Amino acid sequence: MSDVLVVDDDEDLRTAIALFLQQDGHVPRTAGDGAEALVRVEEKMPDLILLDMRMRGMNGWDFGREFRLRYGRAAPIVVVTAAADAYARAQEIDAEGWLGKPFDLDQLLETVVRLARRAEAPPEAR
Amino acid sequence: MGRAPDVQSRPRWLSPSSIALLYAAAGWLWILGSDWLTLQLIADPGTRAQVQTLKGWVYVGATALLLHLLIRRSTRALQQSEEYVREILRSMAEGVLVGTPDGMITDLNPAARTILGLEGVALPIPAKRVCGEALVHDNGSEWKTPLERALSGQVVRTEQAQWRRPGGEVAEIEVSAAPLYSRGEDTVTGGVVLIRDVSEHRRLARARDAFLSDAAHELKTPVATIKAWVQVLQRWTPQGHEPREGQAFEVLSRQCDRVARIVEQLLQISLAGRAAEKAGAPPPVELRASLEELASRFRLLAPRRRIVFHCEEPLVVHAGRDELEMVVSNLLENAIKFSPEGSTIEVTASRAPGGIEVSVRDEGIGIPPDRQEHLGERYYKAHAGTAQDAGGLGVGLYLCRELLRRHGGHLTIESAPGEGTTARIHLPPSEEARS
Repeated sequence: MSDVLVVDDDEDLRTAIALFLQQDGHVPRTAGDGAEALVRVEEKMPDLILLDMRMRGMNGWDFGREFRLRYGRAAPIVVVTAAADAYARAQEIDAEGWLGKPFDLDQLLETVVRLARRAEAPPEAR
Repeated sequence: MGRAPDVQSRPRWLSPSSIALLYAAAGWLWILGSDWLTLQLIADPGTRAQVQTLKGWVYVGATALLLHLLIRRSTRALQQSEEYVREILRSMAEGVLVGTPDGMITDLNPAARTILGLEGVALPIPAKRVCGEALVHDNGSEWKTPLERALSGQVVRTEQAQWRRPGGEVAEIEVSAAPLYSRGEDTVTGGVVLIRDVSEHRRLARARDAFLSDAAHELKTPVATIKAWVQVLQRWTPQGHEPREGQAFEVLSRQCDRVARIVEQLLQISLAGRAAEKAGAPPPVELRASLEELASRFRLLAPRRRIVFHCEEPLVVHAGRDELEMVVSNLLENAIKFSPEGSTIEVTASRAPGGIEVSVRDEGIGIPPDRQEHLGERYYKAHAGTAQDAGGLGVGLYLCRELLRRHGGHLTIESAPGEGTTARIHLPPSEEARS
């Protein structure tokens, strides 16, 4: 079970992702742009951040830079992008993973399970 | 405007050689006839000698007059023909320049002057100035100019190049060149280069690619949203509240994937257009890990095919990772599309004599030999209009070829109908491996 922050300016998409993660037992939180995401991070550090790159308001690049500056690698970032060169986009902000839109939600779950931060999990659970 | 030389409109018997023959026959008759007449009519040998001399002068005069007429006519025809060719060259939108083996441009038409920015420069111009360092091949490789290659006997067919005009402005041009031989000889006496300014054409192509790319990006998010909601719904009620709802989810999901594939291909068309424009060496990529990951992604996408991956050792190549993945993904998608369920698709990466080779082999329907030569042409679909047509826009292999060309690699395809297809990517070795 992971605390996942879903950052996307498309409300319909982030709601669907959040619902899906919830169905699988994760605890999703959502943000509509980079600035809101920083507020959510400030409230509580998530175990993983799903980050859209092209967003109205503060975009993914700016959020990525700001996050790294403030928190370093406190949480892994998975770039979710419609660009054809998803890997290159992920490299630009030194993200831990990437997913190209449109993605399969099972693929998303697999990425979350693989990359989500485990540091706060109780030692016996690992 | 020069006229086409009217050689065809003249009767055949008026050609210079037939006139000369007629003249010889008439001269022979004149000599024989006039000698006989003189003998018959003039008895005095002195007077006869005078008449013979006069006859000789008349003959010489007539010959000179005829020669003068013939030469004048030929010269005029030659001038007309030259003027005609010059007029064609003058009115051509393509630039034409002619070079000699000693490296001088001896002729260039107004279009060539405009395209190259050489208005007012007097001929001959040293070829180095026109085709030398300023003419850079679009992949930046060491490159003999088309004129140099034409002078060495090669024919150069439509190559893309950039030309920096004296003012610093860069024109994008298409160049062709061919050697010139003197009649009946094997030695090259010069070279002719044809250039076309394609700057505007390229600008429009870039605008089209940017539009396609933007449109595809814009479409991807709603498609992703619809797909996500369908999957959420499927999870909530896998079979639906009613029996037919489950089926409806299936159809929605399948059609979503189809739209996603089309959108992806639109994006690929734009990428293929831009592939040739990118410059600079990409960072090194470790192929084994990247391909292993790709293979596992495809195993998820195509659970009914057996996708196996072989690679003995880590392999480093200098190519964009996304682009390489796009190439292998395209080949894998084709393999899946055109092979039966339960069959095996084998992806192999290994060192090869000229660098690194990645092959994708399937046990599918194969491609008929007559369709193989067109593979990789933009919008060409080998199975278009047949029962095996699996849809798509026919850009996959074109994109593969363009992307590989950019990295100095190439693609070969072997296929036997009913047995399967093997697509091979050949990539040059990385810089480290070479040094």
